[in-house]
Formats: sequence, C-alpha cells, structure tokens
Amino acid sequence: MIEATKVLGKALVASPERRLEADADVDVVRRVQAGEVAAFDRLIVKYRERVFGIVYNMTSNREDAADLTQDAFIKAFQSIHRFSGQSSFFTWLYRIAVNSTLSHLRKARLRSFFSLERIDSDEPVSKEIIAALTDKTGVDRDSYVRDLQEKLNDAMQKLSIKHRTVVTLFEIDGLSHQEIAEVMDCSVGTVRSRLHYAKQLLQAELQPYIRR
Amino acid sequence: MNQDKPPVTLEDLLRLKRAERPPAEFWNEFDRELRTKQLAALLAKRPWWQTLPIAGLFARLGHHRIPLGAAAVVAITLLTVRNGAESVGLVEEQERTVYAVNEPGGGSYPALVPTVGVHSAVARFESTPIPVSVDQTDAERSESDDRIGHQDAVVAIDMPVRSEPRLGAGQLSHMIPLLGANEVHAGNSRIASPRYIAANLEAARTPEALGVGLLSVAPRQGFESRALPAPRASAIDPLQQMTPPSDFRRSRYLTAMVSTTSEDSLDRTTARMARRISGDELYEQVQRFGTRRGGLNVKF
Repeated sequence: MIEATKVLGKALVASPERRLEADADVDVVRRVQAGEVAAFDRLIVKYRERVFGIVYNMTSNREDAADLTQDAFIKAFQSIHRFSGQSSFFTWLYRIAVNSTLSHLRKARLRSFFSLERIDSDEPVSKEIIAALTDKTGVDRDSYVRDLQEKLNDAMQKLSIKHRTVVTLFEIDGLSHQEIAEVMDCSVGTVRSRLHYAKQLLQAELQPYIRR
Repeated sequence: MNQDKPPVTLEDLLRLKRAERPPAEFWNEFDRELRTKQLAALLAKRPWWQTLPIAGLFARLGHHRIPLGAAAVVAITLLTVRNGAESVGLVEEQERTVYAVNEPGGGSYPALVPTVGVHSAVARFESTPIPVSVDQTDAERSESDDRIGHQDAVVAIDMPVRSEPRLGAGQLSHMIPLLGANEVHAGNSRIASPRYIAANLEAARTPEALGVGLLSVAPRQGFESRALPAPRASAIDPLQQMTPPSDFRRSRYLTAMVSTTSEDSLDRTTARMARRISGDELYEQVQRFGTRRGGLNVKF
C-alpha cells in the first residue's frame, strides 16, 4: 500500500510530466488566443476534474464546487488573451480557481453547508486504505467509511482557509511546494510552514484513525 | 495499545479524499451549464475599464492595495495638515497701515490708526501707508478714502509699536492712539502686540507724553475698553482676530473728528462718543463734520 501511494504521489508531483503538460497546453492556448474558441473545450475536459477536486476539498460542498469550477473556467476563457505563458496554464488556472474559492469562502464564512461526494471505494488507493482500516477493526465497512469521511471533513474544516488550501493542493492534488507557492502567490517557506502546522492539527484531530 | 490502531498515516487518509468523485452524470450537467455560461460570457459586453490596456496594471497593483491605500491616506493627511497650518498662520497675522497725520504746523507723524478689511481667509497682508492730511481738501480726502476703500481686500493695521526717537514731547500730542490692533505675532517686530498697544496707549495718555492733559481717560473704560481688545492667549480663533468693519469705520471717523476738533474738547468728545454712540450713529454724526481749507464745517 505504501508503495502504491508513493508511486501515485511521485506521479502527481513529477515535474517533467507537468512540463510536458504545460507545453501541450501552450499550443492549445495559442489557438484559443488566435480565435479558435472550440479549442478551449480541450482544456476544460482536461482540467475540470482536478479543478473541481481542489474546489470541492476546500469547500466541502459539491454544488458550490461545481459553480466555482465553472466560474474559474469562464474567467480563464475571458482572460485568455492576458495569459502570456510565463507560468504553465494549469498553474494559472489553479490560481484563478483558488482565488475564486478563497473569495467565496470569505464571503460565506458564516453559512457553510456540507454536501459530500461518495467515496469511490473501488478506486485502487482508497480500496487499500479502507481495507487496512476495516480489517483490523472488524466493523462494518460502509458505515466505517462514512464515519471516516465525516471525521476527515470535520478535521479539514477546522483548518483555516489557507491551511486547508495548502493541504488540499499538496496532499490531495499532489502539487509541489513550488507550484503551490505560485498558485497561492506566497513563498515556498510559507507553504512549508502552513503545511507543517496543518498536519499537526489534522493529526490531533484524526488521532483514532492514524498510526503514530 | 498501538497494536490496535490501524496502520495508516495521515497522508493515507488525506489521499482517501481523492476518491470522493462525482458520478459521470454530474459531468454531463456540468458541461451543459458551463457551455451556457461560456456563451453568455461571449455575448456579454465587458465593462469599459476591463478593456483598458492598463487594466492588467491595476490588477497587479491590486495585490498591494493595502500598502498603497495606506500610503495615499498618509499623504493626504500630511497635505491637509500642512495646508491647514499655513492658512491658520496667515489668518493669525495682523497687518498695519501707517497713517501719517500732518500737523497743522507742518511735520508729518505717524498715528495709531488701524484700518481693517478682509481679504480672504488666506489673504496676504500688505502694509500701505496712506497719508491723511488735515490740510487736504475734500477732493483729496475722498481720493484718499477711495484708496482706503480700494484696499477692502487688505487687512492692514500698522502700529508704530515703538516710540519714535525723532518725536518730541510736543509732537507726541498729535499721536492719537485710537484703536488697538488685535494681537499679532510677537516675533514680528513690525507688528504690534496687545501689550505694545496698551503700553503705547498708556504712554500717549500721560500728560508728560502728551504735553497737555488730553486723553486722560481711565484705563479700560469707555472708548478704550471697547476699542482695545483684551490680551489673549496666542491660540485664538481667527474670526476673533478680525476687527469688525464697524470698528474700522468708527476709527476712521474718530480720527478725522479728533484731528479737527480742539484739544480741550478732545477727551470729552472721545469719551462721550465712545460711550454713547454706536457705529451707525457715529457714522451719521460724522457725516455732519467736515473740513474745508483748514476750517471745520458742521452740518445740522
């Protein structure tokens, strides 16, 4: 299991692949900038799930996440002529999405409603983790997963918005510290500091589920 | 006890959230809504400020809006304080005009005659000596008065605050301290302060200084008590520092009257008029007096 997660994490953080993706994106962006509007659909299909995942894990609300993801793509489409290629397209798109989500969370700080997606227990990584958790405890698997999901969500919501964003981008979406720093417009040291602090809080909250 | 805990880490739990995925039909709805919004965005007219070439610059400056805003507030505050201090300093100034009164015998001597006008809150004060001669004709006087009238934009109070060494005791009898100027900057030697005004007034009232027992009015009584402002602290409301036009008018006509009446009746006339006559009445009465060819005309 650990090997599988390491491989998955390495694949997500691998910079060469990101660079290849970025190079491919640049061509599509140039076509959109030249007036080929339909080319933008390729970018939407490519990044919609990842952008949605970031926004969803920041908001813990699937409807808000869908709206914010759509808004992020619309903003990117409207501002595509200002994209100069100094950063990769996905970093630029992530920045738009994260900033929109942060703005939304600040406005809706006092009224937060959670609507969670169901965990896909057939997905290989989650299947291994869930199996490891339920085999030794011997409890009902589905109810245990639901309980774990709620606890996880509660722990995430206890983090501040910025700490939650860093954890989401690093642990869930697999961005590197440098990429998170670019997305959040802060230093790498700040990213590391926030990540360390957020993990400490999460470990304290999820103590019954994790191994020291 | 640790044996009972599941062998998972925090990172494993967090990766479990990757498995929270919406179903496939969710993306169909998502794509449909996104297409609608995209078309609406294509048709929507963008605000004019977003079409400006410097819109990107504003967007970049938006990251520094807090320090920029703070700097702007500080700059505006400093400018406001600075301008306010300058205008207060100007308003606090007093100005003066030397009225040279021609002695019937010949010489010209300065008299303490303040003239007051209001220029504006930030007016610069100018000192314009205007000679007033007893021997001058009505035409000359009217011309002189016109010159004074043209200085309505000027607040001018010129007080010879120091005794003139050139003047003798007899000549001092023609120095008529009528009105005191309001307080002025103590640092300016050319501007009279209330203390100087009071000292000059006392000096002018003494028989030794005057040579005759003229103007032997008790201090702070009658005319002087109204004409002379009480000494005040340095920080005074600017409006209080301006002498009202009625005082100016009264001082002008008192000067003309006193210079044309005999010295014996000067103190009684001054005291009585200052005590009883208001500004309007004084103005009407002064209309009756006039000089022509060294003589006095009184209209009834």
